[in-house]
Amino acid sequence: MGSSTTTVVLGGGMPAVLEVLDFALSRRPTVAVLGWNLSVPGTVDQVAARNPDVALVCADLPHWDGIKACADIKRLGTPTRVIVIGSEEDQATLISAVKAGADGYVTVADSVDDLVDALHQVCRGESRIPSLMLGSLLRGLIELRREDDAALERFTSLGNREREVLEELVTGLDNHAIAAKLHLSPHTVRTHTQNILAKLGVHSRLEAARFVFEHDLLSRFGIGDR
Amino acid sequence: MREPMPEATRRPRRLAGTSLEQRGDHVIVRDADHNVMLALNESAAALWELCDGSTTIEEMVSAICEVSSIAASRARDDVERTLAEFERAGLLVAIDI
Repeated sequence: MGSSTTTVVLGGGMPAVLEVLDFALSRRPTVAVLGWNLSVPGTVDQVAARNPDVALVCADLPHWDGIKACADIKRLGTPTRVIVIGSEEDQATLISAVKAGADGYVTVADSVDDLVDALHQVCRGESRIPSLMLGSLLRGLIELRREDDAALERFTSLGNREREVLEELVTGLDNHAIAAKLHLSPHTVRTHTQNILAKLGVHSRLEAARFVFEHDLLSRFGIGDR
Repeated sequence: MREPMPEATRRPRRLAGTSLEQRGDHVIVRDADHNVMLALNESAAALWELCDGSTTIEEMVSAICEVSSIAASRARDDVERTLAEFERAGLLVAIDI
């Protein structure tokens, strides 16, 4: 392909949508569609094998998790840029796409010309966000960051033993199993667990585990990695 | 004379009574008497929405870096330049918390 041609792999759960996109984009002289796939693993494999400039993936559809597709493609570590196609009212999907590493977001209301512009724009290393969604996107990201910071503050209030218990708790162990593993009495583990729930501001072990996952404490502090 | 604004921990706030109006590719800021005060491009309009008195300049910069591939230093320069423009137009108050 010439350097002025942007190569694209399409991903999404609906063949008709992908066929229409393929047809429309393939008529443009500056775009070459290398292929498309209906499954997330298939799309990721195709991106890994064909190394396109851009992966253009639909947002969530039945049997298709577009945010996971985006995250998995970015996790490949290749230079492929990712654009997610979603609804212009769907702020939550836009935020999820950005958090998953998307380089651009186009809406189903955009024209094919807009789409082609977006493909070239992300190829130049720029990001592409619909202008009318930008303000609320920034607001949403700031609110998420504040929630993360508040969660971090609660997490860092845990003592070392409490963190160890939490680490086992998120793997699904009950108090007896945690006690045996950490050489503590079940009563002590129960006390630690109650303290953990109170400090994290949650009401159950399940909520505590969700708290750890939602605020990404796994990777930030190695919780649950052992 | 108003104190110069931008510092990372400051929380710029729009003047009360201002409003936005979409006009073509730009957004117009009107004051409480409906006078046109400033025309903003899409990035500046997004920043304007964040001038709510609770968002710090550092938070603005971090969020912009998260959605774009620009370096934090450039994002900070852009934010401060835009806020200075708002300030020059007399559209901001700044509060420290």
